[in-house]
Amino acid sequence: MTKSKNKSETTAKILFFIAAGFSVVAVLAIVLFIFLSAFPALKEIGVLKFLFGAKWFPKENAYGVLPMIVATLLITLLALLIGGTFGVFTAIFIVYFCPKRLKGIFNQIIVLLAGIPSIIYGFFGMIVLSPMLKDLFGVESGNGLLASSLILGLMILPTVVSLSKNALESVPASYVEGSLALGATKEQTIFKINLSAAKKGILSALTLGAGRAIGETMAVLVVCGNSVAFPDGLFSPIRPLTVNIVNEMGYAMGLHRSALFATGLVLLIFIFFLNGVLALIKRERKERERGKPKRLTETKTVIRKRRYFVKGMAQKSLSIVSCIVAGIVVLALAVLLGYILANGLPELNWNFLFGTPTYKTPTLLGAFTSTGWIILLALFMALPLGVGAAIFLVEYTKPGAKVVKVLRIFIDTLSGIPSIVFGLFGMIAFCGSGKSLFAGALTLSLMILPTIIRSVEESLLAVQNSVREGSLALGATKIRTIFKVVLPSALSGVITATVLSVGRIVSESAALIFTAGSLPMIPNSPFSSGSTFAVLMYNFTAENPNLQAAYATASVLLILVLLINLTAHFCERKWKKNK
Amino acid sequence: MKLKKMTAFLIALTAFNATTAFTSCGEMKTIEIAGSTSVQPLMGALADAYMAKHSGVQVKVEGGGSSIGISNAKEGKGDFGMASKAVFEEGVKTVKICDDGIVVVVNKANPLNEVSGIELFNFYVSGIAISSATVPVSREAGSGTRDAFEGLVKDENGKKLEKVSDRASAQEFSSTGTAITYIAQNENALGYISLGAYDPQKVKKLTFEGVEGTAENIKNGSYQLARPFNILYNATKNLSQEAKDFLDFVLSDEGQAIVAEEGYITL
Repeated sequence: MTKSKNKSETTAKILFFIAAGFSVVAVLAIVLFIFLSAFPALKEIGVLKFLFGAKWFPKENAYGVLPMIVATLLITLLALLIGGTFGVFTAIFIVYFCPKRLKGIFNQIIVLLAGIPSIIYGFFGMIVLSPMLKDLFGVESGNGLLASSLILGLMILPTVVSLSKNALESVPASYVEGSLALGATKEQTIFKINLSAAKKGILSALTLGAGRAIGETMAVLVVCGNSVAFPDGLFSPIRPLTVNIVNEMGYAMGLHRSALFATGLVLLIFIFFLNGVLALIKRERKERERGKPKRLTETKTVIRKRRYFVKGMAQKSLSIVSCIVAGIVVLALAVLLGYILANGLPELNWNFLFGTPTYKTPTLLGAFTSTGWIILLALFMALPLGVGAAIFLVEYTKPGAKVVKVLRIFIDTLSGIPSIVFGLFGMIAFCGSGKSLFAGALTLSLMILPTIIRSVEESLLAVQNSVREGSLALGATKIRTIFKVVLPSALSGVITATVLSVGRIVSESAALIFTAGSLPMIPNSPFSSGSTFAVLMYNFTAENPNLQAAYATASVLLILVLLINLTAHFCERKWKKNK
Repeated sequence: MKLKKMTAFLIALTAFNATTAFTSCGEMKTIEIAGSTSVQPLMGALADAYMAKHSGVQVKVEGGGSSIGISNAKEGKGDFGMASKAVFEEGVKTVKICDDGIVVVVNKANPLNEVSGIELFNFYVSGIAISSATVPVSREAGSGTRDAFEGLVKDENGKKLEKVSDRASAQEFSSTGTAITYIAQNENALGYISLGAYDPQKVKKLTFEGVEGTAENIKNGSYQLARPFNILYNATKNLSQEAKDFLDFVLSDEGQAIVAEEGYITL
């Protein structure tokens, strides 16, 4: 190897390392910025008074977030109870009871549920769920604790399902075979053996679901009731931490504004705590896997066998429950999609889609341009960084190295940060000269970075080592090998990452309202403010309510999400075929 | 091959965006206005009319809240701020463009027709029902509409609602739109909204102290729930020619005709 080649090799390695280290910088910057903005409030109010104060009344400088902390914890718990139970049962159904032909469809349904923008969940909650609860229970108002938890439960369901599914699918076949050989029925095996073998995986699925529930903003904003009080029933109006921020930020100045950043800081601490829990679960799991498999003693087996005999019916009925639950999930999705499309599609016409917008007769043309700009700019910034980081993680480090561990912690943390916190960060970091599409894109590029890294990493790992060795043996340098041999065969991962990122960008609203603004017009440059489809839809439900336009925009959003999902599915299929 | 295709696609996308940006850009002058979400719809209508006359100018109207309007004007950000309440802030010039009423509204199925200030005070403070209205609907802290409403509603002793921090829990909404949607769905709800946003198709307005909230009654002073809509700008900053021109337009007969048409009270 010549000297110059060596030099470029080192430069490349450094560049990839910088790309990988970017996540660390991003997380630290977010924590630092939020902390610095929250500091004046914490100092003036006092940390304890802020955390345990029961009164929030900015006019009298009373800032206590305890009722909101309680509200956040309660809706998260209830959402986990609802979404978690339904999610685990649905996962069991998909893995064990679903007819093979329906399996693909079911997986797509879950992906679709995950892709629906939170603004649409909120709209559905406001228009359909809340009035329904009110009539069903004969209460004065449907908004509040239960409505928020139900919507959140539905929203975390896809996370729980897909991760539990993975956990159940990776239960060793020998366990199942052993159980069946002992004479247990299929149902007994599933609920007694597989479920407990997949316990840790399901637990981490629930933890991730909790993180999503804690950080959700736009979906609960309109169904929570928004009153700062300790809840005393399922229908009492509540205000979670996220809602407090998005609700009052527009009006806040000075200490009030700082107190809202402090609210964001509390949110961030919750998320970090959950990340810690997740890391613990993962570590324990690994340790267990390393050790010898647990053995049942003979007496235990006898006892269990006898119990099976008596209680076999319990598992049988549980299997029926899982089928019913899966049916309910499909029904919920069908109602949601059906309701919005049935109300929205008839409102769509050429002029609403592509006409020149005015303030009195808004059209979607501005949203097409704004969304386009943000997607383009965010990908332009995040893709090279993400691919670079993935290359560093896979090609330049040994698995299990300390650097990898540290980097992975930060990447996971970045992916868990709620979008509202990204919004706060973007607002102070990128909006010095006012809100703009560019600032929105910068913020979103941080949000999509972890997805890109993970998905590219996976596809890089799938490239066989023999390919790399072949290339190196033929005299190619490492960079040449990476760019000419490894990366092209991992291209599917890059494309999947792109598609997933586009999906995330299209459905984001909370972070964009703070950074890209909400101008319903055609932006004349990327440095103008503008609103994407999701933000525009939020506008249609806010001032000057225009429900028809909101339905129509929601339909366009849903169609976009469907198209994005289909593209992702198509890419993945093609990739698998090529293998 | 695939890589090339992808880059080609990306380039095409960039080109598409660039052209749409370019065609809409040209030699466009802009006027940036942000602030109160209550003033926003009216300002939008005014901007539409202004842009129809001046094709080379884009008026950007954004919400954010009255506080954004005030702080922008203070810092000299953008051209104008909007506020839906009286503003006394050093370094900020205030131009009143019209008045707006605040109407108390209920669900259309609610038989209630009238309400008094004291009833409203007790309703929001202690949750004492006003006949069949039991669910208080409010706006978020800092909302111009809320500030104006709570400054106008008093108890027997003249104590303003805004001075009371211990209250019955209410359904709070961050925009007029969501509040209207909620009241339209809930026959027990009672709330307050901007007169300009009132839509008899969706909700029903109540008389306040026996007087109906109409433009006329606000102008002759008999209806008390009213507040000014203001345009704000930095006192030390020179307004651009376009901004001056737009402000003149808003205050002109033509502009005020739009104000009346949108349901607000002309100067």
